[in-house]
Amino acid sequence: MKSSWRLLLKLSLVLLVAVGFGLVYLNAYLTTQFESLSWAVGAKVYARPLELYQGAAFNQIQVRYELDLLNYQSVNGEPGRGQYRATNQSLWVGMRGHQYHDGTEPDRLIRLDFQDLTVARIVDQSGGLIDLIRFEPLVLAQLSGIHADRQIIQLDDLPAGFIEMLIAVEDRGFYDHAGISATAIFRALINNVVAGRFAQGGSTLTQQLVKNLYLTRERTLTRKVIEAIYAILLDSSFSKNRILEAYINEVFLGQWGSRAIHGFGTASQFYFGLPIGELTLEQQALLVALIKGPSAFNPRRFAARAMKRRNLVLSLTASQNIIRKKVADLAKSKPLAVPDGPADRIGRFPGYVSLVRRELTEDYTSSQLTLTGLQVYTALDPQVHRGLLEGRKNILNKLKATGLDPDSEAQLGTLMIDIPTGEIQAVLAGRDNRIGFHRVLDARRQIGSLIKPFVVAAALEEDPRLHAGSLVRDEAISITDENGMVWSPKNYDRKQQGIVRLEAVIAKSINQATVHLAYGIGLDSILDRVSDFGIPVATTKPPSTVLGVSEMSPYQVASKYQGLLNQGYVTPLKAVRAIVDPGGHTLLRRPFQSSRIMTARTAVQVDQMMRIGTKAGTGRALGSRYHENMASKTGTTDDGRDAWFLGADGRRLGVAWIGFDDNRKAGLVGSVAALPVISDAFQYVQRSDRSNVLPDGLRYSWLSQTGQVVDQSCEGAEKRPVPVEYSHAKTGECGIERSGAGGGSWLNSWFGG
Amino acid sequence: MRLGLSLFCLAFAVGCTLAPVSRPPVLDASWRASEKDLAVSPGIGISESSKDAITEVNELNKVTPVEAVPKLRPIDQPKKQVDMPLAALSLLKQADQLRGAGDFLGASSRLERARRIVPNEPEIYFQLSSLRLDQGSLDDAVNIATQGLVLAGEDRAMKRDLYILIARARDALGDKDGATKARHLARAAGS
Repeated sequence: MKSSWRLLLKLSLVLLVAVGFGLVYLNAYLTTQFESLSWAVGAKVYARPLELYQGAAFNQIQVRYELDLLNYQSVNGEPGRGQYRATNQSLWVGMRGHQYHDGTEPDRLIRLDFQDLTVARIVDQSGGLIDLIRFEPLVLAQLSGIHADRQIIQLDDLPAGFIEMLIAVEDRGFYDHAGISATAIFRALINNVVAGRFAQGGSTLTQQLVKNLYLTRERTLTRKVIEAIYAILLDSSFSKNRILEAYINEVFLGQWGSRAIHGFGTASQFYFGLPIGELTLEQQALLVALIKGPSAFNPRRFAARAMKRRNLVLSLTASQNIIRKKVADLAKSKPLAVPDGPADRIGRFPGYVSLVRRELTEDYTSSQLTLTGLQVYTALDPQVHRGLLEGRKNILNKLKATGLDPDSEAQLGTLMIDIPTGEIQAVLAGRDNRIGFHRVLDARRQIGSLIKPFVVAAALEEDPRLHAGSLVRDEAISITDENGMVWSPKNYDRKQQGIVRLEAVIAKSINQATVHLAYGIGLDSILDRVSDFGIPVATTKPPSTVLGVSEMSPYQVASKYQGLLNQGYVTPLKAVRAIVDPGGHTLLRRPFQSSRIMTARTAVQVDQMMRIGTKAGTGRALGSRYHENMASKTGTTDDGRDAWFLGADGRRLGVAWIGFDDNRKAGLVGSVAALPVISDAFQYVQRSDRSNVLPDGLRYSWLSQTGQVVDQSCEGAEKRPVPVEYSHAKTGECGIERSGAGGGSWLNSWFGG
Repeated sequence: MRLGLSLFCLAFAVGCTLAPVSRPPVLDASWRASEKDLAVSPGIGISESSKDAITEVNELNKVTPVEAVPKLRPIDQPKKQVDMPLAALSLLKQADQLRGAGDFLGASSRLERARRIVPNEPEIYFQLSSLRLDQGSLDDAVNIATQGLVLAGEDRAMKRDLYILIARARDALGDKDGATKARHLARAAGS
């Protein structure tokens, strides 16, 4: 008997030691976990900051659009941080400061004066002129795994009284207990006995945190015991403030699709679109109310329930003298004012963000992306994005209404870039915001007539005598390849002009003239050049290449046209401007680079031919809506499987592709189905003129209808850039047509007249 | 009045009768056309008196280390009304200061911000190109300067300065012929 007692004692000691060791081990484990978790923040992706200066092409409506996106509140009195006041000609804005990769923008109150669609002046509070301001950039996304979408905040970021409210409602004894609260457990126990089941937890904030961090959601007694042990351990290892800081970033406050909302910072953006520090009392109370059950009290689905709970929070807070009853009552009378969808913009730019992701993976491993809290600054322009969205919506409606897309299956890939910098300003990867096949990056489609400017460029590079007025045959043509296959390309309108000016090959997109041009110069050398320009050409060099059988993505198309429309200088396209690590060090900046793909002389001539297309050719609908100074090109492939359009003003180039993923015959036409997307998009930005400056070797001359350089006074003479050596008019001649076939051009020498 | 032009005039002792092209003033401490650059390969279309001046400058160059990039004095003339928005000018100034302090990354970032404001301003291409030269990115320096030439249009003084940059970059690349060619073009543009 005595020995069995002794055995029991020994066993107990062993057990005690084991438990002791276990606890030490557990404590160490929890501590490490807790330490590392606090820092696991994903990469945050930003849009371009709105930069304003005297003369910036932004009107008041556009600036207000951006302020609204950033959730600045419109007020009547003097604006505080994150607020603005609009008057007739001016905006007073309480700017939120921001730390950029290349400098800091302070919190400050400024006034913007507008005049003639531009910013006329920026002054500070004391009336001093400011050169340049940058608004904080819109957050587009948070990239990472576990903490995919989290706005990490510090205790200091919370509005005054928030913590007191939280503690009053959730855990009155927080500062006194050791992780668990005996009174709370006792109260819960009574309630559970009364209810006859396990209904109430009596959790402290520490227990809630432990549950969120380490445990499952099941409600069992075992889990409850483990939770209590963990909570005590955590409380013994970390300060109350440290635990609070983890809590405010970890607490679960909502769900949107697959997106879980954790932490007050994230929830504040998700429900109100505001930094937590800018929330009103009733908004703060709603967030605290949600802790009890983000789905049960979801303000979007159960507004009445949420309202009741919010007001209870306010009453509790008032009853503990944290706020005055009067203040609480006023707050209770306020509506919930939660928008139907997420109030932040995260998830609204899936096409652009996956492009960013792709650029990042070129430079970073996935673990760096998820763990290091990078700040990624991109070039996304919210105004351009809005324009493309509008264009997409309109064209999809139109395709459905006209019967071309009865089942709403048509797809689209569109992007807009800044030509001089190569920066990508907006991307739409499909007909909706679902993340899937990225049509801008990954859809390879025949480009059709989009190739023609490159064929003409190749011809200009091959024969420097050519210019806009050079004459080209436009007649039926049949080509027999080495296998005896006959290829007889047709013009889109099935008509031939006999002879056309070179510029018409682009402006009117004439197939047969393009083929004559290519064969006139030599198909081989044309295709070599086209390939050098970066257009894919099959190794067999099929003649149909000159009519656009090459397959390219909208992204590739934009990257090639960037060079063509940039005087022949290519700058690699990019979405990411800079990446900054949590220590403020710039990890990556893609500096401006440029290289030449064709002579400026060629590029500028082709550019101006593309403007003729906008003035009087296939891009007329763009020219008549805006200005004929824009450059444009349409593209349509066999049986209308693909509709393409690209349009450019002085700064931006937009490319749109419309078609079906299964490449079906669709009856789509570039100028009808794709042009409106880009045209609509330009409505949201201020257009600028394309440059008329000519590079060395070109001069403006006057050309007759038959392509001869004539005096300006001649009837029908048109101003075009012409190689200097051929730019002198023969005095007295007005280029009257000679024997029908057009005179004085290079054509005669190759085609025998 | 452009600083480079004044030096040009000084070096050639021909007096500043050439009408300077109205452009934004050159910013402090970024170098411009130097005696050395304009003095190479005398010949085509230069007057006797100018030739003398060139000989003198060549003599001068013998005691100047070839690598030394002449720093110019700050502009002392009052600034003219400029086409460039103040914001762009202020960014150019910041870039200049950062570059002087050896912060090439910061300087480049300011210049690129300025370029977003005025993408067709050849001055910015000039500054970017000379920064790349400082950084040792010689091919970039040539490419950017060449692109600046296209934008310079009729601005002969700007063309001259850009050609000189190209010549320097080609020198550093070991492309002596190319450098000489660029200097010829610089002289043709500047005369």
